Amino acid sequence: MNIDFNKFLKFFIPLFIISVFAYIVNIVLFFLLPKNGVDYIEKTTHAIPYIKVDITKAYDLYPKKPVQKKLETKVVSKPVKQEYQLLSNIILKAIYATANQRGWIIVAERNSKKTHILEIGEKFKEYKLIKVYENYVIFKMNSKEYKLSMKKEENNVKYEVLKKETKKSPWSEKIVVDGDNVKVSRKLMNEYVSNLDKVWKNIAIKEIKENGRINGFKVLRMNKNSVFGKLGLQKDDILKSINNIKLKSYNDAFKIYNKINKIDFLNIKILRNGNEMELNYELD
Amino acid sequence: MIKNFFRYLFYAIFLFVVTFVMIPKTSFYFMGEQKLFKKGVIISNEKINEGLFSFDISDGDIIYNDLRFANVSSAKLKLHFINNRLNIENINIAKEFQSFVPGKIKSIQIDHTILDPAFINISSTGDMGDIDGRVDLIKRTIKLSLTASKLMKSKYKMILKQMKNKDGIYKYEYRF
Repeated sequence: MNIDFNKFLKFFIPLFIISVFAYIVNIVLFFLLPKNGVDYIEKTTHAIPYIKVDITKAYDLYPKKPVQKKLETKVVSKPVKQEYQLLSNIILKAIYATANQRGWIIVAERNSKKTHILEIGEKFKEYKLIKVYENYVIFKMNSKEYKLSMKKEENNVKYEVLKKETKKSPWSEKIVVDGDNVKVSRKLMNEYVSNLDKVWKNIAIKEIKENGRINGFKVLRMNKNSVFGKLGLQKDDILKSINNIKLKSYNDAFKIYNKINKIDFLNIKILRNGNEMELNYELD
Repeated sequence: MIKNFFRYLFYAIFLFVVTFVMIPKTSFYFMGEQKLFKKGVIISNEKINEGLFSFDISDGDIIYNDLRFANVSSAKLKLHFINNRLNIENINIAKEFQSFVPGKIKSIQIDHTILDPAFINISSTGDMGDIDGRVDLIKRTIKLSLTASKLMKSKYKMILKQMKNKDGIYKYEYRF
């Protein structure tokens, strides 16, 4: 058998050259193209999770005065829910409330501009101050107890969520104000979490950017009669952080959204008319 | 003359095949990943398998703007010279996004043929219904037609509102 090497070489040498050419081109490409892809590394947040702690209660830091000690025992023995008569002739100007319904208040007579500072146990017009809450105080006179609330416009730090109402509103079972606590029904929260259409029907938010980076979300539109209105949010509020997680990306917002079922307290820091405010809720 | 033509055609096809076999497909994929990263999209934790005429990735998470958006169980690119196909199967959208978009896409098939090089054909099925579409590489447009499922019509009306309804088929057009 004769093999024609010339024909053989004539056929295979070009194939060999093409292969070498393709190899060199691909080697060059290999060196030009990236050697590593992109992998996602989850950013760990150093934000301390929001926990509601009363330090004065935990460490018993409140100064112990003999008179106050007496009052404390009285306060504890009282039933939690009680109907009070309202004081109409006295205006409550300011409250400094600490743990165990203690603190100081500033009051004035309705027809007078003169203000008075009262401590627990002190009297004003025969009314003895016995309890101080965050939004209202309790006086006592002739074994009857009287309630005096902050005026809404004077309370620039806290907000009014829902007054104790005689008529039952649709929110009364879902958002309950119990003393200083604002309890929001988890069922109500879940209604909104599972139905985002309902959320966007009642509120519209837009990211606020500073130096090209998201720094909070602004409430553009809000239905006042929706749960958002009842929770104290207002149009043009800027949501800055929720439970110590600063809202600097959509991911931060979704972190809260994903954990909402495991959260017992919600602490929302907002910017309203340039003033920083906090909204606190307990999920029940 | 004809003999020479066929000889050169053979060499050209040979060059094409050898290049396809040798081409660093994974490096091209990494380049694609870096381009997507610039647009806020990351494909993470995926397993890569490079074959002679194929390139597969499996079990990849899609992250968009730091949000874990979906998981893709497999994506297979088959390079068949005349007809090239990318087949993506089982895209599971993250639970937290299922309020916005349907939860599962069973398959997406993307076809390109050198016989019709200016177009890419797309077809997909999933919880949203069936999608047929065409990408025009010259006009730089994507046209999609959706036959919406009952779930889509009842739960995701917001998405359907973004599309034009023509005889029960929802049309969407996008320029890139």
